[in-house]
Amino acid sequence: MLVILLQLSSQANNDDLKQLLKSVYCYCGCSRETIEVCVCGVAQEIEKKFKQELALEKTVDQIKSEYLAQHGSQFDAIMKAEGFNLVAYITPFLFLVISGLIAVIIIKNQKPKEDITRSIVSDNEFGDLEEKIRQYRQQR
Amino acid sequence: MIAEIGQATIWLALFSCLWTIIAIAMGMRHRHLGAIQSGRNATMATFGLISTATLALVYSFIMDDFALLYVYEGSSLKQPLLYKVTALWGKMSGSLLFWLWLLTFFSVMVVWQNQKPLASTDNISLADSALITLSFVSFFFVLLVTGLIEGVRNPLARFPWGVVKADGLGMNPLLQTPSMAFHPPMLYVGFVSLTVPFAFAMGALISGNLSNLWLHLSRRWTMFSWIALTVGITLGGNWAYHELGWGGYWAWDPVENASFMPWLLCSAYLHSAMIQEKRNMLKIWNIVLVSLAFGFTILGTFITRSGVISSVHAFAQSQVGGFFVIFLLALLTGTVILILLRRHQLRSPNRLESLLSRESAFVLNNWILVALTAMILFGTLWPIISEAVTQQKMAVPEAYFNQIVIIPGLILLLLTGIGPLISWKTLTRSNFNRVFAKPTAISVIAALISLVIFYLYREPDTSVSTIILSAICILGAVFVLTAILEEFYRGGKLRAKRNQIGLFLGMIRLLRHNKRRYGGYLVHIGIVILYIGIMGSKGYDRLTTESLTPGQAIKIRGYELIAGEGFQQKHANFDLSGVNFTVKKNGKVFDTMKPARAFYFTAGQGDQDTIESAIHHVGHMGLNNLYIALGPLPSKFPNYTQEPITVEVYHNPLINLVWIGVAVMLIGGIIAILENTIPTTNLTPRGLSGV
Repeated sequence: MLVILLQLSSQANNDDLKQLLKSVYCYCGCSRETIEVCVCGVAQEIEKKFKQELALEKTVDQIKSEYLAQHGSQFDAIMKAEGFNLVAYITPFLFLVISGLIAVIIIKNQKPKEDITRSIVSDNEFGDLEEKIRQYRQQR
Repeated sequence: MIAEIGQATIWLALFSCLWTIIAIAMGMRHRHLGAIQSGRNATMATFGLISTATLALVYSFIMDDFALLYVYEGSSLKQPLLYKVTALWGKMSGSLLFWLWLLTFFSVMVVWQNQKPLASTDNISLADSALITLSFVSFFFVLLVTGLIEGVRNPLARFPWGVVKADGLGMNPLLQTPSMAFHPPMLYVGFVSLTVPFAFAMGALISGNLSNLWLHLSRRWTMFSWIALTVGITLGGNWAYHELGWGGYWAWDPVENASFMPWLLCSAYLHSAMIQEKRNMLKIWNIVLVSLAFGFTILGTFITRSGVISSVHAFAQSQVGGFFVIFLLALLTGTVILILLRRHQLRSPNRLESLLSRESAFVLNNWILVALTAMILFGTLWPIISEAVTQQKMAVPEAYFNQIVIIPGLILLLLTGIGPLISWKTLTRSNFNRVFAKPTAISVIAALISLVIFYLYREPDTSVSTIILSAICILGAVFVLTAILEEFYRGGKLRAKRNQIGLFLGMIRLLRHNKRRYGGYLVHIGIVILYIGIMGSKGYDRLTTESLTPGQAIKIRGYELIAGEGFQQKHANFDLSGVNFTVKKNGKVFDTMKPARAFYFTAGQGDQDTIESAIHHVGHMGLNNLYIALGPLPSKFPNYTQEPITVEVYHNPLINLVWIGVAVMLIGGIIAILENTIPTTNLTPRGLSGV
């Protein structure tokens, strides 16, 4: 029973560690690499520290908050769709929808109510014009 | 002495740029041929002057002249010759000088390609008015490299008090790879050459020659920019994949985005320009689009150089941002004023006749490409917006961009197939049956089959959304491929029948006689291949991390990688230390892989090291990759029996399709650029000719 409990606890710790490593960026300078992906020495030290803190029964949120408090919020690798961040998630789709509507309106407004071009210049008149241009060029 | 000559030529170039602007503007106004010829000559002179300055800097690098600050910061005695030359664009002021050199070179190309000898005022060309804009942009960059602007030094400036250093700090080790010798210059070529179509658009507005001539004159330049940007962006992705050790090629880094946005706008412009050529429509939109594409190259440079947004590309930052903002605002204001002044002449006589027409499909394509640009720009600038509101700095993760681009990306894929096949003016039932019915049926069946296969063979951590999106991607890809291949087949068959030749020869002739159209189709096929590569490598990649000692193994998707002996090699300017891995599949050894870390020991780099990942092509036709990156090495390396090494192994399915897709796109682009669309007749009023 004790063995099963220990195994479960170790599995939970591993999952927590994975979650943590994915959730914050390394501060070594490769600014957009999470600890999970970054292969620098700094990332290795951070991973060790996270393991120790998990062993001390700190929660994932606690460890993450402490890391961000120490190094800055720009190292948060998860942008939750909540609070002001919602604007970041909604606005691009607003761009897409609004610009799409504009495109459709443009296309619809472009549809001719009558054939304007043909009513202004007939094919015969157009032919005459082309002939005049040709003669003009020859004269020059 | 060489440096002083270079400095002097930069100052002289400032005046020659100004002279081009004044001489051509006055010459056009007063129809004075001498003044215009003088402006053209000044353009040549500017190129000569900037070439001298650039050569002076390259020479200083090769000669290890550490009396120059820029050479001291970017090179060292042990740096190989290739990287001494590429150090030219390794940091801020040198890269701006290189940019300027390209711009003046392209300006000379414009003079050579588009000018007739000035025998009469008829030969004052659109290209002359374009030279005004090109020289204005050149003037801005010359001003930057003179050292007058705070934050940018003259690249040929010496240390004060005659100080000469014994050795330099050396180039950033991350930049000392062969792909870095080509990636930045290709991007610069793409960025800078976009100035030319913009200059032609401005030339058309300035001169009042608002026929489609500027479009014809700038088409090859735009294609050239598009090709260069495609190569540059891909080389950057390839560099990241090999050098950064995170197993990926695209992370939506701000500077990656800065190069991708002009590419999107350039693609949009290439499509909308066709509507103006064929239907004489969207005249204002095309000018806006080409201006935006150019504006985004400057914005990209601003993002790279100003340091306003954190990036892995922070190799060359300074306080130059404000000057770029002023320049961007000046360009924006000038463009808007010119468009407003000419708005009546820019009205189109034609109208869209149906929502179901090629024109509409191209407008929708423009909608997606421009909206994508806006979405990516918004995401890129989000850290600034967020900090301004919440007073908290934050980074936008890769996952955010992946989420926002999926829907427009898939719509774009479908349009890639629909656009070229739908008829101009309106889609008739017969046209639909002829070109769409078969691809639609085949793609729906393929999507359903793939949905079942993806679901049945899914791994425990594969989400349902990934499976559905993959099936949609297959739907779009199969639709585009069948539609285009059918078009090739139909056209080829017709040619073969007409000329009494085989089908293959018929298809080759088809391509040869309509390079633009069928080259474009090849680009679309390349995009489809690229999409499938992205689907596989981003949707189904797998990472396993272990700490290993010799003899221990790491497993990933049926592969077993056994850590072996450590090794060390000495190179000219770095030491390489790595581990031999034996790769097994089904118990059989089939290869060895050698991931390593390179330790650079030049004066300025300390013990900085780079990751030299090992990549092996596996799977059907070698389309997948096994990728190994090593963590920090223990102090007693190559002995690591006591201290294990952290090893990251990635399995990236279909990743090689990304590179193959881009290669097909490039072949298509090169074929398309070969077709000359410049009309041979004189289209232009008021004695302004184009060629």
